[in-house]
Parts: sequence; C-alpha cells; structure tokens
Amino acid sequence: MNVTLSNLIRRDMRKVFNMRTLMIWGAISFIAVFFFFTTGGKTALMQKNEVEFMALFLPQIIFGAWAILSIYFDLISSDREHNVLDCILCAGISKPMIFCCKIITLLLASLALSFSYLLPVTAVIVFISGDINHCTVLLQYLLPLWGYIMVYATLGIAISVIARSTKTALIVSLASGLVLMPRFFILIIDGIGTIFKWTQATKDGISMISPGVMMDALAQYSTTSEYLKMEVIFSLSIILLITAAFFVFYKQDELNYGE
Amino acid sequence: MNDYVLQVKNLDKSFGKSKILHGINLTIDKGEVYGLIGQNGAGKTTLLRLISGLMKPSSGSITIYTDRKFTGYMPQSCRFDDHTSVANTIRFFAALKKVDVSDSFALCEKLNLNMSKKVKHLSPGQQKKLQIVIAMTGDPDFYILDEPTAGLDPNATFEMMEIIKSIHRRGKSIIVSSHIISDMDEICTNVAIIEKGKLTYDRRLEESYIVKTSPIPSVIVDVLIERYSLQTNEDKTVLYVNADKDIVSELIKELTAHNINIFEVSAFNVKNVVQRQMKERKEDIQ
Repeated sequence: MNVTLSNLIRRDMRKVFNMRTLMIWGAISFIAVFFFFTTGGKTALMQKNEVEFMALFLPQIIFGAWAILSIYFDLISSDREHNVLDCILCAGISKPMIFCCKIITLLLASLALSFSYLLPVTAVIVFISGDINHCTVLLQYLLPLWGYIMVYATLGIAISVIARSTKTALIVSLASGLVLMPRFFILIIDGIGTIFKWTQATKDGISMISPGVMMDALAQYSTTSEYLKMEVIFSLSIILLITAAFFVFYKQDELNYGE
Repeated sequence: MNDYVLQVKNLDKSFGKSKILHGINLTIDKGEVYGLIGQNGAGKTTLLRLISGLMKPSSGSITIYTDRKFTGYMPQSCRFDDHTSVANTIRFFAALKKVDVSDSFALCEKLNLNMSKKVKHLSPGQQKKLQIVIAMTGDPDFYILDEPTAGLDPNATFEMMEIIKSIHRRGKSIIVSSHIISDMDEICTNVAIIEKGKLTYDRRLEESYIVKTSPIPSVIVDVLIERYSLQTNEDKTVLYVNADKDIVSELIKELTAHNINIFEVSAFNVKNVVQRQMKERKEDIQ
C-alpha cells in the first residue's frame, strides 16, 4: 500500500512541479522582492525596523489566485481527459486512494510553494537589515501563506474534478482567480451590498471569504479573536472544497461526465 | 471452478432519465475472444467501462472470475504523461500492479518500442503499443480492449492484431470492441452486436453455419434440434448450426429428404452477421 501511495504521490508531484509552475513561481518570487523595494517595504524596514504585510504579499494579493490555480487546475482533469485515470483504476487502485494521494500532493506542494515564495524575500530582508532575527518573517508567514495557498489549491482541485475538460478547467480557474482577487472581491461585495442595502459590517464579514483578506488576519495572531475566526473560515473553506471535490470525483462516472 | 471469466446478468445502465443499456446478458468462457460490434453511441464503451469496474450498473450484476486483482484494460484513446519515458511509464503501472517489469520490457523490445523515448515523441501506433504493453503488464487473465485498432494505419493495425492473437494463444480471455469488421473476423471466437443498448445478436463464430430453408414442420424441427443441437428462428426458416461441414452436409441431405427447400447455406462470419442484421433492420423499417 505504501509503495502504491508513494508512486502516485511522486507522479503527482512531478506533474505539479513542471516547467510552467517553476516559471510562474520563479517570477512571482522575483516580483515579491521587486515589490518589497518599490512599495515602501525597504523604507519601513530601514526606518522603523518593521516588515509590512502588504510589501511582502502584494504579488500574492494581485497574482496569487492565478499562480496557484494554474498549478492545480489540471491535476485530475488531464488524467481523466487522457484516460490515464481509467488505466490507474484498472490497475487495481481505488478512487479514494487516488484522491488521497492528490490531497497529500496538494499539502506538500503548497508548503513547498509557500517556502519558495518567502525564502528570497526573507533573504533580502535579512541582507538589507543585517539582522538575522528577521528570519522570523519566514516562520511567521509560512503557515498563513500555506493556508492561503491551500484554499486556492483545494478550489483548483475542485475545479479540476468538476470541469469536463482541461480547457474548461482553465477558463473557470481564470474567472475564479479574478473574482476572488481581494480588491476586486471587495468591490463586488460592496456593489451587491449597496443593491441589497447590507450594513458595512455584513459587507466586511462577507469580504473575509477572500483568501487574501483571511491571510492578512491570520498573519496578525496578536489579535486573537480575528485570528481564531479566520482560522475557522480557512479550515472550513478547505474542508468544504475537498469534500465537494471528493464527492464529485467518486461519483463522476455516474454523473456521466465526458460521455 | 467456473469455465467462464465473465458473467453479466440482466445489466441495465441509466444516466438520469436516459437508459443506455437494457437487460444485457453475456458470458465469456476462458480463452474466448468476444467481439462487440455496434454503431457509435450504441453503448459499447459504456458496457466495457461497466465490465472494467469504472462505472456501477443501475441494476443487474457483473462477475469476473480471475485470480488477479486487475484486468488488462485498454481504453479507446489514452495519452500517458508526455514528459515521461516509455520505461518509466511501464515502471509506474507495474509498481501499481505490484508486478515485475521484466516481461513488459521484453515485450517492448519484441514490439520495437524504444523504451528511452518520451511519450510525447511516440507515433499514434507506438502509443497504442505502449497502451497494450501496459494492459499486458502483470499478465492479467482477462482483457478489455476498447477499439484497439482505431486510428491506426494498416501496418500498425496488423501489428496490433498480431499482439491480440498472441494474447489469445496464451489462453487469455478478451472482450474487444471495434468498428472494423474484418479485424473482428480475424480474432474473434464469439461475436455480439449491440444496438441502442441491447444485445441483438450473440453467438460463437467457429464451426457455425446458417441454413435458410422453406418453413419446416414443427415435428421435423424437434427431431433436428435433438439430433443436431441446432437453433431456429420463430418462423422455422433459419437454422443456426454449431457443427462441422460433414454434419451440416448430413443435415442438408435430411432436409432435402423431407422435401424442404434449401435457399442458402453460409458459414458464420462477422461480415455476414452484420449484413444480415442490417438487412433485417431495413425490412423492419419497410
């Protein structure tokens, strides 16, 4: 069983860390360093010895959804489209085991992506400030960013299962990434709220569904109530998306996809 | 111990309100090559996917009697990971099946399949070869082949037919679907026709003849059935005989002795089975 699991996970990891992923995440890590210099991150560090959240994560807030969804949107859809999934199932592997391997891949790859994003910018911060204690930036933000990536990753896997083809999965991923972009999402909620006469508190509450907004709150763990609230929303989002994806994955032949 | 590898009983499959398969019954004996013929959308692939366990039937049962946990499934089209080599693709599936790869590698050499090549550099014919090698990995007892020659050039088709024949020679059981009647004639021991989700024809091909006659009195038919183990249609004008030429000659002599006219005697092959089905369908429409 363990050999089977490790084989499936290794194959999925190879699929995830393809040239497309390496290029996109290489670029986004570079942009993170660039934005740190250009958005006042360096100034705040030099003058106040502080690392500003927005200076670190602006590239994630702008491009993060697309960068993450671009990795996972075809993790299942391409296997299904190319009938590789059928061959794996006929090799005696069960659907729950295949799905379990996809989720383990998701967890490991997302953690690696979180690390790869934070490492260059932390190195730059330590280098500029000359203070090794700023390594804590990496530790402080590694898990919130991992959670942020996981929300989009599970959304990606849900899209990958539900979409009938890789092309559809790509289109839905692009659209979802756009809608969930924090600035855009807040504007949409604000617009809808104005039509339905929601209070500002309601609008703010709903806006928190955007993973970027959630990550901001998660990074500030001194505000315990906000942190806990966000932790619950984060976990719920991930669990709900995984459950929905598993249900569709398990039943999708019965739902006549691809016929 | 059963003599059959597959038994399908009263199988129905529906997707929502549309019923795709209606009351399918079939049995495949050990060592048989069972050909499934049907138009696009007739339900061939759905039936094969149900047999392979990729779908669950709405009602009825499918039982596979083999010692292995896996079957040799070959989908109509399949594209393995582009950037992986042939050898690594085989290794991956062998590891999933928990079997040794040496036989599969030997088969690749026999089929002139370059194992160091990446999948994306394989021609369609080579891709199909890789698919059948993967299906054969672990030497399963039962193979499910969905249109194995679809999209292949004549040379690749010939090679694929030889591979299927070699599987059959090793005593394995196969269910294969195809549009290409000549291919089916070459490899099948049994043939079934599926139309609009129903099996309209299911018979052995080897040593089988069709004798068309003028109506035969029931008393004579009963005697013939007992003597020759034959089957007949409702009008008692067509006899289906599973026997060799000599016995069929005897039967014809006996029919002639009873003043029954013989209109046609033909050997069963896929082509005449399909032609007959089409002719009957046209007559029904008229």
